Amino acid sequence: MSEIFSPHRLGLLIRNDAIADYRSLLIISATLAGIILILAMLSRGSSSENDYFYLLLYIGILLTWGPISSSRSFKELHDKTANEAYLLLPASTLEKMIARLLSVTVIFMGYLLVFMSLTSAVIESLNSLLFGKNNQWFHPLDVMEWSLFGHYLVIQSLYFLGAAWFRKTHFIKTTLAITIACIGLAVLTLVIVRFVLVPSFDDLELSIDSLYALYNGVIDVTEISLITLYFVGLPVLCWSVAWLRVRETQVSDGV
Amino acid sequence: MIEIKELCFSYGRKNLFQDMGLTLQPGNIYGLLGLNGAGKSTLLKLMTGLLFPTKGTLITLEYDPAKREPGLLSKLFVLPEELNTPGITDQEYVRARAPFYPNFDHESLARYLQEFDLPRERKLTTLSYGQKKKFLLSFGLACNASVVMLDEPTNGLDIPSKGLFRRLIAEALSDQQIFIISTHQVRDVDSLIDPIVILHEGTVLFNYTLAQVTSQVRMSHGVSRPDGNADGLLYSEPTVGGFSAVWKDESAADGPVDLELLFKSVIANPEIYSSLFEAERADT
Repeated sequence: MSEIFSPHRLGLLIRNDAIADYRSLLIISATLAGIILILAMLSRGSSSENDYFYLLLYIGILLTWGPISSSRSFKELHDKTANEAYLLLPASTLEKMIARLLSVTVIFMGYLLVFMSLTSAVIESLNSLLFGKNNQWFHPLDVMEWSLFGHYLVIQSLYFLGAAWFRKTHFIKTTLAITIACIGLAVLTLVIVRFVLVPSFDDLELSIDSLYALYNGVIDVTEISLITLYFVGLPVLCWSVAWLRVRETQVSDGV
Repeated sequence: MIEIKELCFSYGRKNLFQDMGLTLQPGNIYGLLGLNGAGKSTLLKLMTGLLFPTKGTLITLEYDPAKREPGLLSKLFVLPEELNTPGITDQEYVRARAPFYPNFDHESLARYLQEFDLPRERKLTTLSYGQKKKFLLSFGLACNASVVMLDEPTNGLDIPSKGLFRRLIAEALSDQQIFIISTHQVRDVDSLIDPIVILHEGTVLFNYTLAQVTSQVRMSHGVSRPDGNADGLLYSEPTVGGFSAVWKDESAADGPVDLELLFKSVIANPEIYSSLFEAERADT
């Protein structure tokens, strides 16, 4: 059996995580179902926006629960009493990383689709029975837009890296790091645009149309590379760095 | 086999091991002894890849432990001193973890758990420290791992369990296995550990079998203090009701070895013991 990757060991790791985490998953799911029940009953059939009630909830939960789960992907790694057992679990670092990555991406997204479908079916049946009015049920096919999952993977990858990188308060530190990076990037872009492209500005009539034309010109040239960088390059980079970080981790307790 | 050559390791600027060498052979239960901070736990962590050496060679079962390859990890079991069990039942734990160990024996596990009289189907987090230790020890022995490392295994065990622990460890050892017991509680592992490895000031000060020890030194207990200048006296100390002493005696027959006394004697006279066992050191 390969020392680097074995589907059998990967399956065992996912099962190991499932056995360890299913109780907390059930508790969180039950809590969410309760909150959704209250919201759904309060807003039942009140406006046309209710057609998107569950779709918006799905997106909201995906983009909050997902990053929070991702930022806890390597919680044992930074726990002095738990990291030994995790690091000594007979599987390669790559397998351990992929197992956690699958848990917070494919498995999580799939679970959320099933959860929302079942929850909406039960709650809206109740709404119909009790009040005679209901929101539109959640249809998994409505969210089958690749850009949503693409954006989720990008966001998730950042929090996944944060989980491996930071020792404590992974979610908060990653959020702060992303905010600072975004501000830094914005300032850098402003400086580049202002000083590097300054000759272009001299003769430029600044109007919404001209800015839009400039924007389109720039985007046309670099669109494909930017999209590739965002949807593929960034997640792959984050996952790779996370893997390297886990591979180099040592138990940190002293003598 | 575990082979260490010219190993260096430091915590920050503090050097812990400097050009350390040690070879551990299968079929033995090694007792790893040392003062607080001597590096016993660190050495175990280096052997398992939980820490990386800064220099030197460390080979565990023909693997580089720092790579943490599954082939090695499936042949290792480590019982740490600090226990952190997940919030799942014992049966869930076994169902989740046992498949990672190809030689895992469920029948042995059931027998060990029965011998330790452990409650079943309980959440591991609800067990007492001693019960957790017994459970993990049973699991570790049932793994049939080639290298079993136990860090302070008798801490938290009740008095009957300590005797049971000694018996189960002795029964479980096969010719292909290496057991390493790191402990301060030498009386708990008396008559179990052999050879004895003593770490002191970053080096392996002592690595000999009890047979080698008894062929070179003799221990005595008497009511009066031995003459400090007596020929062959290596160490003496007051004990309850008298004095204990360690003597250099090449004609000594096999006799009981007081591990605590031996340890204190070696730590007090490292140079004398180095020369005393020079011949054996060359052999090993």
